[in-house]
Amino acid sequence: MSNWDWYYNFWNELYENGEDEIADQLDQFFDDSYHGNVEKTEASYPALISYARSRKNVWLEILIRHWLLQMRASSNHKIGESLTEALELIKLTATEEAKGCPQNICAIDSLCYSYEAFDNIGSAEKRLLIVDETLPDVSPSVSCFGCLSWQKLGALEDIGRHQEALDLAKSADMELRKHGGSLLDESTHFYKYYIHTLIGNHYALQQYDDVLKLFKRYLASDVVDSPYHSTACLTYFELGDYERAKELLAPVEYVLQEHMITENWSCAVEKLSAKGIIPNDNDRGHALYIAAKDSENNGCMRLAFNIYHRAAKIAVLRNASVVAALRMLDMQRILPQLLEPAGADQDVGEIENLIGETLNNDAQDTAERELDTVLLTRDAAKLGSLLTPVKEDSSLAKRLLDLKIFQ
Amino acid sequence: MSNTAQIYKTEVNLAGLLEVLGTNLYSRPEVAVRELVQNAHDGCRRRELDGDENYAPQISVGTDFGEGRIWIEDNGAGMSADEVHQYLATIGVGQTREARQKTQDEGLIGFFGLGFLTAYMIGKSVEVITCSHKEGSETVRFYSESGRNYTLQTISEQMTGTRVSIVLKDDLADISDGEKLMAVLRQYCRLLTIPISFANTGKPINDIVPPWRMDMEGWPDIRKRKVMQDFALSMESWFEPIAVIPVESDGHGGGLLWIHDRNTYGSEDNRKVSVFIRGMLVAENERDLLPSWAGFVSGTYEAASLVPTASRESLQKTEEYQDVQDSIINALSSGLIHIAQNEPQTWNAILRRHGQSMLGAAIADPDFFDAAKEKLTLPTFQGEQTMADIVANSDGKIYVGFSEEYSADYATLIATGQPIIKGFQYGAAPFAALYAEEHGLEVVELGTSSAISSLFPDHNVSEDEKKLLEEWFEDEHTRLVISHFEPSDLPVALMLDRDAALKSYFESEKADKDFSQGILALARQHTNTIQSEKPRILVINMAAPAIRTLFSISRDRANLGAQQLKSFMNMIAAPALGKQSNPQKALQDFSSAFVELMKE
Repeated sequence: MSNWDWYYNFWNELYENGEDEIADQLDQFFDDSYHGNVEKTEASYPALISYARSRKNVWLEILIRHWLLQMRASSNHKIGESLTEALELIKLTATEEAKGCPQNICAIDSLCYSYEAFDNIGSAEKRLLIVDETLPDVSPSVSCFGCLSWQKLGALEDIGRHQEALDLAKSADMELRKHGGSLLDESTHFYKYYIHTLIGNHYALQQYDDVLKLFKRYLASDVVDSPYHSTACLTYFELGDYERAKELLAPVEYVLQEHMITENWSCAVEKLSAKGIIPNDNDRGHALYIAAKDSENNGCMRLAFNIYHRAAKIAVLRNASVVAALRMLDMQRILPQLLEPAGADQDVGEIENLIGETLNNDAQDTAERELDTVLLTRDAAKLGSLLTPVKEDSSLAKRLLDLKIFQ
Repeated sequence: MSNTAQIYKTEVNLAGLLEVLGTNLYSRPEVAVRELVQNAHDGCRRRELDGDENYAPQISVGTDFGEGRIWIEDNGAGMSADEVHQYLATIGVGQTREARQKTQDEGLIGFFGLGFLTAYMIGKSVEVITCSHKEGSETVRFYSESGRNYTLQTISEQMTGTRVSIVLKDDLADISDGEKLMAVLRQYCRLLTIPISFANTGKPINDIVPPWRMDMEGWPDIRKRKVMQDFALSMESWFEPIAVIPVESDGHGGGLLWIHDRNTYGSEDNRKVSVFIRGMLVAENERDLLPSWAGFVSGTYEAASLVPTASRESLQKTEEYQDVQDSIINALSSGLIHIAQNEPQTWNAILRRHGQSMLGAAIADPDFFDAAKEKLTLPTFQGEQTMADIVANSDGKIYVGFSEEYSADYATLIATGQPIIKGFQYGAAPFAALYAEEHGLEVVELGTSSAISSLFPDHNVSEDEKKLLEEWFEDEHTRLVISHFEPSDLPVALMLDRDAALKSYFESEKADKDFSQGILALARQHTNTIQSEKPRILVINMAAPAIRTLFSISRDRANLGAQQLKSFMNMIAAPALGKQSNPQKALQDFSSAFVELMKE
């Protein structure tokens, strides 16, 4: 029995037993989760999980917890809590009551997805191992095959095995087609995520025609400022069509509101700012900063680290050495929390060197000017608390202190 | 074939086109009545636009059930023979659309020149008797079966306006049932401004005036509310309205929202908005005009700016649509706040029925949250309370419980009269979190390690006392926390350390058997960061006389007393500890210690 067959049978039983209210709530919950309605999903979850536990219905509990985790991972929301939650879910699937539950594989999917959101590169090898251990036993006739294939695609992409990812997409799609499905079936749950992953791999291989072909076929009709457009934005940038690239860049407010901060969105902000297609100013730096802060608060550590890194780079480009130093401290704070450094330590070193070079060029004036700018545009009290660790933690701070910037 | 390109004329299969349009454009045959009344309405409006000051427009609709016939008659502008050829007999050419382009009049409804097609959708034959209101016009009779061809002749009948008479197809003859036709007319046409009567009974169809068309200036609030409530009642077929909220517009329409008088659960969605364009119902359930959190709200909206689809049964998602959406959301948020501030009884009634949904609304809509955060109540183990009351009655922290089963931390708070929010009810926990964030308050989730350190702060004792306590209470599964807290009647509290339990499980042999290497590697990467090893935490309350007494009696009796306390705690904490408990052993320990203590 597939997971959805089981659910629909259970749903019908609820109706037959007069529990139509809970049946409707469950439907609404899955719908909200699928559509990334973060607030509504979180609001409904405690009542539903309480219901499943009060009925000692472990299969239902696994399904509900899985969908909460899917929503969180796809929306980069509460990922820190999700790691423990995902492990507890996995633990639950090993109990006697969960034996034979068709949702048990969903729990593996949730575990991989949560770790991907936490630190995609740092967890990629282990995620790949998990999928490789699980996927061979899953028939392409059940929906888990599509989900796990997508997990594998993502892991391969994170490791940088892009061509292998694209080959896998093709072979998985062929397997699914034999059973009447497809990774590109627009009626399936995650087809847009698949497209996004495919586009990402094509972009990494500089196959820009393929990126734009997929983009135009599947995504271009969406709202103009969808964060899904970021890879296309980067592609147009690489092709020199800066106007189109600019059109496709979503504003930070929208990205935050829709819980859709992505690597490529922040990369696009960095590249377009650095090239002067959008202004490289405090506003742009601040947009990246709040996107990074939001990611960090939600436990998306690799994403937060990378965005702080990008914010530091464009700060250096506009000679904002104080801002760059603050972003570097943000990077240093996150570094020990990553699962694997995977080059993150070198990124910190790169920024430190860049700032050092900036300071050596007319250091005192530049740094003081930048501090004034930051003070003018930010809440001074908050800034003070941000600056405090600079005094204590960094060799850069010592150099800055020599310049009497923070005294 | 020649090598040079030839121009060919595209052929149109009129019969097929009529079939496709008639069968697929509209959802149900009754829509034809609306389309034909709308043509009559626009005919009247065109005559008004021609400037006849004494003209009083009138539409009547009648039926003959025996003959399976319905007719729609108006005293509007009528048509000349040329106009019949030009407009009535040409699909897609709209007389109204042309009139609108010329006059910019917003009272005209028609758009596409397709409405008359619906006559063929429901009729075996269609007869139109019409005479233009312009001087010297002749009355003409148009007759067609299925629309493929038609006859047109001059007749002697004296009239001004148009009468469309349709003999219904056999399978649709029930449309001519008087009661059914009346219901259809009332559904679609009740807000039209031109009077429509049902010819068979003489009864008016559209005798209701929506509140937004009334000049209510100077009326007392109670009278305004009564008028709006009556209107809502007349429009609503499922839920009685408990409160009404007007929606202002920029002078081209308006609307009314109402709150359902029926208990709802958090995510229930009974949104419904009927949309009228210039008085004609176009969309019966345009629920997306309401925010997704407003499952307890229905409404009616009328706007000239909205654009219908060709079937005129739904709306095009234009910028104007977005504007209307925004004004409805704003009206709903500010309307609810107005009620909260000015109509306490109504507000309490809304909270009783839709409290959960309102919490959900506040979570989803920051503006509504800002406005309503002090007015909404949350479910606590001590009854419904506002956030301000919850904060005032606690030690400055906000406690949230996610289980209905009490654990020791619940007991501590309840004994000291501090509220615990029922986090397992819809919207309560995220609302509390938002409130706390805004006020710089700490949210403590009961059952977690942060709750333990918050409620049971470390307390210093002498090394000797510590050693004794460890001897009495510690074991391989249980870690001690020595604290000093109220109520002092609670000597020990036993809880589960979720993180340590997870670590202990994933490092066990059972996990080796249960899971693949990949899963274990990822899990252990996480559990390696967890310091604590023991899955249970026993908190010792040094403020409790029961504990203090243990230090003042003989060691033997103290040992037995401690065993009793520990086993007693194991028994009462069993439900919260789940598989980490062994109530049977606890009972045996308790019993044997009791027997020993009773001995001389």
